[in-house]
Amino acid sequence: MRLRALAAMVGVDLRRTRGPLFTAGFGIAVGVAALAFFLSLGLGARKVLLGDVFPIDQVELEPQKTSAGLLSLLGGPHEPAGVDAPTVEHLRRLPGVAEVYPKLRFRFPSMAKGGKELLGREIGTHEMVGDGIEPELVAPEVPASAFLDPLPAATKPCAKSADCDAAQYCELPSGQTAGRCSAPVPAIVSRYLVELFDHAIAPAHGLPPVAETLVGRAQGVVFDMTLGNSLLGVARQGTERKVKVVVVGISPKAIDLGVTLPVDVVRRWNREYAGDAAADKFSSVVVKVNSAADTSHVLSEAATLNLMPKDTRARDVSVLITAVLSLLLLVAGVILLVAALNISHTFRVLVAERAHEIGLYRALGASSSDMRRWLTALALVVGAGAGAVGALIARLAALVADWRAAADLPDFPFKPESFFVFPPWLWALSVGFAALFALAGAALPARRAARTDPSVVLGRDR
Amino acid sequence: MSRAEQSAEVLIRAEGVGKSFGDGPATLSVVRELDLSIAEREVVLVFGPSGSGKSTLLSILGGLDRAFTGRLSLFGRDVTTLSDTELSVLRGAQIGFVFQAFHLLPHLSVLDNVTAPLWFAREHSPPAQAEARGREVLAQVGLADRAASRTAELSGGQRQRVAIARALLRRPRLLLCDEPTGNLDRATGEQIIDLFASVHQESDTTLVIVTHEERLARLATRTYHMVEGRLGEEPAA
Ligand SMILES: Nc1ncnc2c1ncn2[C@@H]1O[C@H](COP(=O)(O)OP(=O)(O)OP(=O)(O)O)[C@@H](O)[C@H]1O
Ligand SMILES: [Mg+2]
Repeated sequence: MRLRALAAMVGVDLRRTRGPLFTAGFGIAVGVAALAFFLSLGLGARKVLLGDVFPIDQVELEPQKTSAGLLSLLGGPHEPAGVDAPTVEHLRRLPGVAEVYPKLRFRFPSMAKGGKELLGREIGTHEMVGDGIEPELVAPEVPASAFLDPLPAATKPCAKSADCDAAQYCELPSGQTAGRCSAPVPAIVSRYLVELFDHAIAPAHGLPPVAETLVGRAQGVVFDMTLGNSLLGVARQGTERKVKVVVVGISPKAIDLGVTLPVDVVRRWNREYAGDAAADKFSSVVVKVNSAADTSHVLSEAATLNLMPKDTRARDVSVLITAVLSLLLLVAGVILLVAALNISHTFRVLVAERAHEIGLYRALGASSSDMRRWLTALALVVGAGAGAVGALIARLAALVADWRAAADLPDFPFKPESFFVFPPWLWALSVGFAALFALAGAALPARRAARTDPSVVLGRDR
Repeated sequence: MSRAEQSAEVLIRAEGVGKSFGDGPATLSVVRELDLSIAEREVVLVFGPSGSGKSTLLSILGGLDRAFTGRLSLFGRDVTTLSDTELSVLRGAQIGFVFQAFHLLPHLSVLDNVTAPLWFAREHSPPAQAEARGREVLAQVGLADRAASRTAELSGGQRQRVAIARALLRRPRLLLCDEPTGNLDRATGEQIIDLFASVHQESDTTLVIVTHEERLARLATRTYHMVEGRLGEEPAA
């Protein structure tokens, strides 16, 4: 039997049996719609949660805390293990690694206060956390030139901040008598912090959201930072003093909760308050991988360097999304299964009703496998058509859901523009799955058609 | 090859063919010890009471029923050695069926019904060519003007003529007919008999007709009576 003839037969069937075939296809369409909807929701959730909130393509590594660290508590002063420059270089050369940026944590207590010009009143924290990274790593979100240690450019001598311009402060390290007037130290903050502030902290305290202004303002928000003292205690060495910090941008490279400064500044201050050991080695490295699939082998390589991931939230969230998604897909699978049974039933009735027709076709020269091909092709067309319709329904439902969410849902951290992702392969998958289930449903009836006794056409209509 | 040499060709040769339904004590032997050979251009009539096995015989001879015992060759080929596809191709190309119940497809036009056998043909026929051949056979059965009609709009006699046109479409050498006038009134039956006569004359088609219609006897080269599965030849009238 030629393909053209098969297509003609199927075309005729679609017209004359449209009622039952539509009903049979409807179930498949619903199942596929559910499948595509849940899948695209899962992909959307993955994109937002693992792309923006807990990036899964990057991992922060820090030296493993060994028992030697515990022993050193008993012995002399605590020497924090660090990541040295050769290790950073080694990591940079690993296959699958896109970027490596070392971080240096604050090794000194600090507090911060400010924000009046932005928020209308001062806010602050009695425990400020922060770290430093290389300026060239903050691009493209923030130009590297805006994220430089301001001290080399400082010339005017000073003894106290009052000696300097209003916008500047006197950078006068502990124990020294002469300082220089420095521009505020540039800082970047994480989108996580901004989202948290705008959607959780700001509403609770009646403060305006800052995201738009912070990004939009040419002149950043200036905070006063107190070095060497905090709620939890004073530094081992050095004297308490005040510096100015200006927020210059939002960057995914910034520490989640706290501020990120140019690494040279942090190195200087660490040396001042915690000694040389705290300044010479990095405290952690953030490794960005080419794809999430590279993560595991990078992690195992890092383990040989005694570096461990600091935060496993990305992987935890990934597992959670996968689990919820599997559950939803199971529901879609059950719908599809029922739809396949429905197809099976429809086709069984179809074959039974057409026993004489099959007999006639056999008498006209059709082989039994022609009859099987005929019903299989019909199921394939019904399934693929239903799959396309189902995918379309899912896409429309996703658009409606996004539209409702935009209109009705309150703002929350990382609220995305769309909760769904519809890659082209999802369309192909939908059609493929639908066709597969329709074929599975029609397999037995098609076999029955092939086996229908053709001699029923002879004699009186029995 | 000249027609005279061809006339010797045997289209159907059955040796000791038997067919039964069921097994054990409930076994029903419907065709027994059948020996038969039918040559090209013969017109063979099979009479017999209801339930004697005539339709079963036709489905065996047409290769629709392969679950029989004994030996059967069609067009010189042993049916038992052919695959289902080979047998189907042979059937489509060489054998036409005419049924008592017509078996037209109500959702198709008369012309599409007539060209339906081409769906299963090995060779491709361009639609224009298929349509031309369809109209040709419709003209042969006197229904040239009904090509576009639905089959439901036709009388019983017209339907049977459409069915005959369909059977003739691929120029079969053998036409198997199961009570082709059984559902028709006397006058209409007469038209169908005339049609068979002209088909036989024009196309040299071999006819095997199971019937109760005595008037067909004028076409017959041989006449058989089937009783309880056994075929007995009647001396030519
Ligand atoms: N599929 C079948 N299963 C069981 N018995 C069958 C089957 N087909 C036919 N028979 C039996 O075989 C016998 C012969 O049937 P068949 O249809 O060949 O008779 P027939 O001579 O054509 O009769 P009629 O003149 O009524 O058409 C009948 O007794 C019938 O009941
Ligand atoms: Mg019969």
